[in-house]
Amino acid sequence: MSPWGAGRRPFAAVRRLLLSAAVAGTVLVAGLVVEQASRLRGGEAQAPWRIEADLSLTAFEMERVGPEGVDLRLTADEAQVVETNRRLVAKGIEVAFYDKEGTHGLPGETASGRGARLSAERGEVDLDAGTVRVSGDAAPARLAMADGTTFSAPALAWDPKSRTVHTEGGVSLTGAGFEAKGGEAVADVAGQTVHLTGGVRVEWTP
Amino acid sequence: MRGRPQGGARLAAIVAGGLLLAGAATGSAPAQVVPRTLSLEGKGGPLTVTADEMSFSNQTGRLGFVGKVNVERAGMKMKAERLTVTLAPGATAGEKRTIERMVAEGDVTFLYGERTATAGRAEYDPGAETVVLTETPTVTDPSMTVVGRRITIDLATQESTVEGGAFTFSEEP
Repeated sequence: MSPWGAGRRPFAAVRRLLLSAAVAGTVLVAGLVVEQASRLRGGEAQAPWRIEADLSLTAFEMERVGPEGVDLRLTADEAQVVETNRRLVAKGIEVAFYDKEGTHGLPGETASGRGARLSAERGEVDLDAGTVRVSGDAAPARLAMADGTTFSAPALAWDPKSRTVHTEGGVSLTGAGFEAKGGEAVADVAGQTVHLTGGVRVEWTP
Repeated sequence: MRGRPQGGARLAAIVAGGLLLAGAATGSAPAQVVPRTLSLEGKGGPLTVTADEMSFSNQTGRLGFVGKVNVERAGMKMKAERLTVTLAPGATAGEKRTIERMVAEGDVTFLYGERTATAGRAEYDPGAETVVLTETPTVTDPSMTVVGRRITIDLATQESTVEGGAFTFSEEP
């Protein structure tokens, strides 16, 4: 009798055990997959493995890339990314809008400043739509355009589709030697034009 | 001088008016100068414009006002449906720019002293200190009414030039 013969019986038992375990494991995994698929078909809104995380950051900086390249750069003293509603909430926010030539500087900052700059105590960014709304209490939100025109309001909202900034609340505008006040305003950042409505008062002082 | 013409100035106005009436009666209407009959005191100082809406482009240097436009400066008031303000070119962005020209259109009313001017169009040139009224311009004060094709008010010399017009005088009470 071969010494290996007797010795083979225990290995055969191990193989049978492992085979049984593998079959049982396969059945278990398949069962879980079927159960999960059934739950998803049943209309459960949230997959159980979804990961949610909020991030709090300081000295925050973010660039938004549009079809023609970077179209705005956002910086903030503090920022919090809230994943549940896809929002970024920031304090000490500043947004620089780039023009088609990729310039974002204002007069005095670059040789050919042609963009615009939005600044406020706080702001909120819709990360999906790309809209930015800024506001302030101690100081109003402010938009400085490259042509030297600046206007301020309790709140300002940036619409990336029209590339315009809308005011919320009374607006105050200064530029080219005059001061203007109006009910509301829309600033076309690309065209560097401003349209005031809701009753306008403009004053030139020699 | 403020208000209605007095003394020699009033006489000159009457003479000028007579000349214009004669010109109108004969079918010819030469330009006439009415010396010191129109006064605009307190020129300069802040200029204020109110309106329903305003558009501004620093690149074109134009401000467009629409709807119930009111212009006010010491000694004068103007109302119109529309107003376009053209700024003098600025050397750099953000530089203070002066007003080069103002054009008011649509039922223009220009008030100064005791006089009221109406026209379809008024053009104010701050550099030349003139207001040019066109499109059926009329100037009225308590003693006379001037209707012309074109009336130019010189704010610096306080003279007005009436082209293609006629004077109508009313007796003082």
